[in-house]
Amino acid sequence: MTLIEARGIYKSYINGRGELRVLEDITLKVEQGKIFSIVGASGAGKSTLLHILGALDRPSRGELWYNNSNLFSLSDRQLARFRNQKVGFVFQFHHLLPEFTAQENVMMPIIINRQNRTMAELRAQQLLAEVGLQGREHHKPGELSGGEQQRVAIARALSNQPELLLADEPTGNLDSKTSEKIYALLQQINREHGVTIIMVTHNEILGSRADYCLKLSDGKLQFV
Amino acid sequence: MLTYDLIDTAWHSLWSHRLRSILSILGIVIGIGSFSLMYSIGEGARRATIESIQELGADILSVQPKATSPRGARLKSAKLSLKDVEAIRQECPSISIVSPVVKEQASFYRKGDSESFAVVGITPSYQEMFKVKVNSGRLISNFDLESQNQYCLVGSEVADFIFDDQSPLGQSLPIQGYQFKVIGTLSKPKRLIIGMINIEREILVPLPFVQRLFHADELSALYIHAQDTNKAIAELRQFFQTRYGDEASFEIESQRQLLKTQEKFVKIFEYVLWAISSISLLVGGIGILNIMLVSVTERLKEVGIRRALGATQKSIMLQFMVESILLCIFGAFGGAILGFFGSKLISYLSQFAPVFSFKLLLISLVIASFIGIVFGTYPAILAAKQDPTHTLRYD
Repeated sequence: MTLIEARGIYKSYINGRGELRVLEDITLKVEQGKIFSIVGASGAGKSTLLHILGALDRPSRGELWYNNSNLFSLSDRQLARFRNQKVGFVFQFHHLLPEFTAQENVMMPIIINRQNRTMAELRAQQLLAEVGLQGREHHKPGELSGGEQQRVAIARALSNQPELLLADEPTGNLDSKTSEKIYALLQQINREHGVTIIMVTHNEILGSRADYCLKLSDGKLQFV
Repeated sequence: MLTYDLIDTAWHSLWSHRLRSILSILGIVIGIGSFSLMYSIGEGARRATIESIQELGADILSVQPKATSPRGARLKSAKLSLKDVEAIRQECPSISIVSPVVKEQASFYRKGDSESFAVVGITPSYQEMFKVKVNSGRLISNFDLESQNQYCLVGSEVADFIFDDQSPLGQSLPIQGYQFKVIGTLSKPKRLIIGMINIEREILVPLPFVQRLFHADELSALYIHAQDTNKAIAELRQFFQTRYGDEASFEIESQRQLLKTQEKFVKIFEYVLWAISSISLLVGGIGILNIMLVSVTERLKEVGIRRALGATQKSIMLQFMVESILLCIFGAFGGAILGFFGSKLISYLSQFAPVFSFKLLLISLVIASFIGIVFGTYPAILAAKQDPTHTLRYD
């Protein structure tokens, strides 16, 4: 079953030297419950595509279909709601808020969703335990290792039980041993929660282990 | 986000940049501090005026010969005597009590120091009119006047200077070479009696003695009790016109008028206070604007993350607005504390009592919140309008 579908997506930027085409006619059906990887050289537009698939950025042209609705016909407010409830983001630089504890960072999407605080705390504790960070709930990001920070970021991405997890170079900043563990964690989440994962990586070996591996080059997407 | 979460998040962010937050609210602290201090002084002055008016009951008029004409020439014709007192009693029906006074200055020496105090010749009606009270001893009576007792009453400053720690009661006080027995010490009035007398620096003596001691046939002033001030003034003007052919040589002032003049000064003072406070609050607000702009630029990544997690533009805007308002409210509390201790210091150093009220705290908080909204809006809009994808690509 298709979870999300991109149809003819174009993205270009206007800079001083003219139009810079980043994505050209991207068409993709993302099957529910699978892991997709997108590989490509740096600057190929992988992050841009991921941001569009997560409705964080709008394309210059094209449609993104989710549950029989074209997402880019929705208002910014509705898109924010979609991101909050259906999508989880994991970034290369984890992007945790440094002044909040691990638990508070995980609670953030739940609080944005105006849920009860006590419930948010329980959910955060449960997720942190699931990613192997029991006992580290009250540490701030600065007090955690790179791998641990990424685990917190994964727990945060899962806090509103999303259907889609978008990971932008989730292991890009980690050593190979830690990368392996993080990837194993993503696989486990995919298996146990049935969350569909789209992972952008420049590591082709890692990328090839996904259910589907796509390569983005010259703005075009192809299955590998 | 819910209100609690908004405030909690804003608090987190302000607390994690404590020093910057404190520095940024200094302008507001000083602004609200000066505002609340001046407001409390203004309120104190207004209340003092109102209380004086209430305490006054019936109005007191003072009639004094003018020393100079409006053109500056000395007036010789303008003199008041005891005959005028009698004539006014008879010719002015709306005037009930006329109290003649002779006021002279005399120097007193003590341990090589000298001070000048007013020796005031009075009749008992003066004591009634100005609600003079004694700390110890008794007031001057009609009997003292009739039996020519060489008695006097001393004000607190006079007593402190001449008798030091000793009780003045029963002691004798030399005035112009004559000994007067102190029969009472005057208590400090609750309110200053504006513009007319300063009881603390006075020595009250039966009227005939002062006239004799200083060879003064003229009276310094008449104090008049009148129920209907305007009517009494009209009658007095008529009286002086017919008796001296010149009513302009005598200055007639009512205590109520003096209080009104004072009220005008309080008003002017209040305008000045508003101007000063507005300027300092404007400067404080610009400080907040500055810091919030810096804060937005620094936290673009945070904005991007929140947007990715599903925060709407509106909630990003609200978050920065709440931070700015919270900063200003902390500033207001700081300023109110500053103003409170400032007003305590003023009432400690002077007789004047500024009034610091809960209402003032509320006004300060409202003003501060308003500044927070006005100067926080632009940075908040700036933050909300940011494209989140730019900041998320980099560490």
